Amino acid sequence: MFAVFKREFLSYFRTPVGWIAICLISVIGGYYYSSMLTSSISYVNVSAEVAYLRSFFIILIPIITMRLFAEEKRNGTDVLLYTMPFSIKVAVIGKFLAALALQALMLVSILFHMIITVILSGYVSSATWGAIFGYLVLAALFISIGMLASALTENQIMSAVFCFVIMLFLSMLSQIASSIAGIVKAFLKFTKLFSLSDSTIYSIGENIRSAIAWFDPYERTKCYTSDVFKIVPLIFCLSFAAVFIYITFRVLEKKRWSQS
Amino acid sequence: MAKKTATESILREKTVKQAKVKVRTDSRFKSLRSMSIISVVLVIAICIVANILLSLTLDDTLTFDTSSVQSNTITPLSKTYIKNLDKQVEIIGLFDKNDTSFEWRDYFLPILDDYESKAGGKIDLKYIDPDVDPFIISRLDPDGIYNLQKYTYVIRCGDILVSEDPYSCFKYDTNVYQYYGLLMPITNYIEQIFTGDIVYVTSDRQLHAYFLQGHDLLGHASMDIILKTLGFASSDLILKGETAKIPDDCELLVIMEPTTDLSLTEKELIKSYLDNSGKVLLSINYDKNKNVQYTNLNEVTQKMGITLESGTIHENDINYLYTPDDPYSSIAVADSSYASYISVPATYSVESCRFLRIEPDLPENVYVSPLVVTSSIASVDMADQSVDASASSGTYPIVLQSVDTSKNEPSCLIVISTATFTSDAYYLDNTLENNNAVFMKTMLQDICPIPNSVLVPSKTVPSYILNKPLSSSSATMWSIVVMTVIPLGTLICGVYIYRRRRHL
Repeated sequence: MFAVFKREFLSYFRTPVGWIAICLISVIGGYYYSSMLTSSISYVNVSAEVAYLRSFFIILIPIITMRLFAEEKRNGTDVLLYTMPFSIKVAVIGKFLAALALQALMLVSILFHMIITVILSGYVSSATWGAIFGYLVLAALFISIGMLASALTENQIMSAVFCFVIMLFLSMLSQIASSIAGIVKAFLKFTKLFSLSDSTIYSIGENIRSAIAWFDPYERTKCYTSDVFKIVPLIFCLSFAAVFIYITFRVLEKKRWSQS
Repeated sequence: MAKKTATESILREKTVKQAKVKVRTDSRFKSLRSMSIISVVLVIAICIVANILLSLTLDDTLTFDTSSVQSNTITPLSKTYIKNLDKQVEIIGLFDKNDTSFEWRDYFLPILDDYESKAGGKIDLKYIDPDVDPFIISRLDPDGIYNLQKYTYVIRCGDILVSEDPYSCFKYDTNVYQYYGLLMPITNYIEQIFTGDIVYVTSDRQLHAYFLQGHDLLGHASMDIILKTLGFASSDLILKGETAKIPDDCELLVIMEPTTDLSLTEKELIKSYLDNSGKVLLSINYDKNKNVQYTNLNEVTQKMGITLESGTIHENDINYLYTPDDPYSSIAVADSSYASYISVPATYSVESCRFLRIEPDLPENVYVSPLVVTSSIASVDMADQSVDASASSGTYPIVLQSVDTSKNEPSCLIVISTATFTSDAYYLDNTLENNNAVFMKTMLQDICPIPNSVLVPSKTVPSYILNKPLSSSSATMWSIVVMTVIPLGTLICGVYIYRRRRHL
């Protein structure tokens, strides 16, 4: 697995992808950090910066993951994956870890910002470490989604678009949940189906909203930036990441057998 | 011809064989595909079910507060109280839980979740957006008494409810507000206020404190919080007209910093209230009311053996002064006999204290005792510049307690000669945990004992403002470093490595 990890991780830096991604994150983070520094009261909260960076997953994750399997197929090197003396599972996990390691490396600029904050006699709270942890947990989930998107198609652009759409959907899940709940409530109220009371209709709508919003990974991992460490969101993200890794493995397995 | 037929039959056999092989391959592929689909569905189902079970059973147990002051979890004081609740309490946030425009959500959501999880089902936490459910406000407050608004919390037990504005649950940095107009919390009162509210709404004995209006009372938000933590509800009271009366449920009548004397009606009503085992708290702001003659008010206090004189305490002990040139702003101490009776802080901050005199001839069954006093070498500056012989250098009372034991339940009058124990202006610059506030809570709890009252300490909010102010040139320099130097460094590094290794 280490061989796959090493090959994949180093390949990010043999192409401009890794460098551009790191540069992009340090520019965005730097902009946010400098706006805090130059604010009238010099209010510098690095955990807020990390939370802000999460909103750029939607761009970064597709860029990082689009090439994981799609490029192998385009170059014809995917056959190597199927014929290597280890399971495809190992290759999938190795690639996943490489992408996650790149995500972690992107946060180096945050470390610089933390050091600068300490130098400037600011306060770096435990919430900052929590925010970094939450960022990586969320990144793990999204990378697994991006990896699946990459395994499903041969075209990198298609893979990136597919990943982008899924992530956009996930980032809007709370709003979607509220909208669906609103539609259901309006429908029940308008049609007077089952002659339900207002409070019952409201409860039904709220339950539907909660059920859909339960899947919102952004909301679930928000606790880490508020100085609350929860195991359940961690398990949620990692277990769903494992599910997507498993599906990726199944997709590749299917392709392997269909090729023969 | 025979040869041709043989070739045809060989070809046919081959085709049949190939078809058989194909069929065999297809069935394997189909079974693999079925197995893949089934296994994927199964894995997803297991994952969802396991996560739901985990969320329902272990979410609260597997939650840890990593903040330095445990601001996301309730203290054992609150925990013990809510664990023993025998009534169902509802905490309703009047907004959508996911509404990010509610800027204090990160402060409230975790700790209120903790209330719910530690109450063993006795606290039900809900978030209902009035925009989505417009009837919620009318359901909670049908008579419109509480003026419920969006982005507030309601704490309810049966018919009793309290509304809390999240903005009032913090103390803000006054400098930041003054110079930049920003609300920067420095102290967090969430637990103090919410536990106080829960105590209040679940209290069997509903205590009521009334603030006498009509004498330019500016506000009593700080006293409201102090009283709420003791299980009191606060209301304003106007004693005017023939039908005026002090309500029967008045457990404590507060006369705060009156700028005018009492009216005759007020005087008679308060005297009669004291005759009927009433409890009165009077605080004086001498600085603002130097020339006010409290003739009627003095009649009330003299009934309890205390006179408000037109003079101010002059502290002569330099160890009791904050600045040597201001003898009117000083430190006062708890009277030794009072401190030995009850646990109160040793020192208090006082300003412009009015001279209080204990009547030499006390009415029968009336006992006056000092609770807070000056140093032993303080003196009095009379308002008319005269020197009162009886007010020579010595120890002067700042807070006096007078108790009339002639009734089964004694009546009580507390007179505070300064505004630093009660006024919002004082507590704006000082927390509700400082010695003055602690004294008020302890003293009030002593005179109006309330079962189950909970005094939860406040929590500090970490400040993210740089300790040393950053000059504009330093800020620009650091901005260049973080926005240009670090990203460019990465990019240059990348270009160098890429150029060196791209052919490998």
